[in-house]
Amino acid sequence: MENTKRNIHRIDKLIDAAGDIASVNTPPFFKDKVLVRLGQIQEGIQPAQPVLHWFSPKFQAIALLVFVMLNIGALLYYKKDLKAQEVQTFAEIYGFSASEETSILN
Amino acid sequence: MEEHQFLSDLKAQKREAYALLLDQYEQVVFNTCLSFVPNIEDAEDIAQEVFVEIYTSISKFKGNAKLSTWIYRITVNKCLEFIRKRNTKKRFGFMQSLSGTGMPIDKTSYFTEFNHPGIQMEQKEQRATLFAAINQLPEAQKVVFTLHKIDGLSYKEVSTITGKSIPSVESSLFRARKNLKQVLTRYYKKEEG
Repeated sequence: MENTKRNIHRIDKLIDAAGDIASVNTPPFFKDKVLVRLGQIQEGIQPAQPVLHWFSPKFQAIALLVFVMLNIGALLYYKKDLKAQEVQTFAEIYGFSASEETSILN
Repeated sequence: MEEHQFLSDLKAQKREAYALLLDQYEQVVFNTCLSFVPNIEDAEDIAQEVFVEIYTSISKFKGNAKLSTWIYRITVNKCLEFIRKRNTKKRFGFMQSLSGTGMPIDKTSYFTEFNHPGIQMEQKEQRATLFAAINQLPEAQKVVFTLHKIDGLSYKEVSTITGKSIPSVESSLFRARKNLKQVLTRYYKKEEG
């Protein structure tokens, strides 16, 4: 109960004090920066954009998805290949391999 | 006559006219931006956008309202645009989907970080909570509360800028205060619990 009362008082005080903010001066060179930008607009110069500006979070997510899928694909393919190789090695060790029978050395 | 000439110079995109405009309004625009977005870098970017918008659309200014009112409207719209973008980014953010939405007030929702030079260090934490709570208000209430309570404009000025009647402004302000109390009560309850 006391906590609730304290909170109500705290909230009222916080809301009432919302305007107790000192006026802030504009950052240095603000005016110059704006005037340069306006001059660029007048001359039709577009502000320089970063090289990969088009690579938005949407594209980043798609690229990540493609990367993950490629990796999963490669891993599955590698596992399948490894299994076949293991069977082949096993067959060769125990002499079940057909390739051994057709070898010119035999 | 002088104001008419000044407007003509602005419409003619004369550099000297814009230098004068900046002298007159840079402080007001920047401080209003800070009232909506309490981060000095974000506010500077928005304030720059405001002057660019003034420059590109001054031809549309018919003089029905005062120039200062028109500039205020652009400033408010630019701030809301920024907040909307930030809120959307946050909503669709990757981390958001991982962490869920458990907190009633997310203090990182629409400004890079709380950095308002006009607020004393010891009040920073409380004010950050208040600004985050204001962000939860419906847009109309947010605008009225910010312009009147934070920016210190009168009902009449707020009414002219928003295009609403004075009773409507008062009513929005009343509802804003009520909603803020609810949001903050939930927040402090959670903080204690």
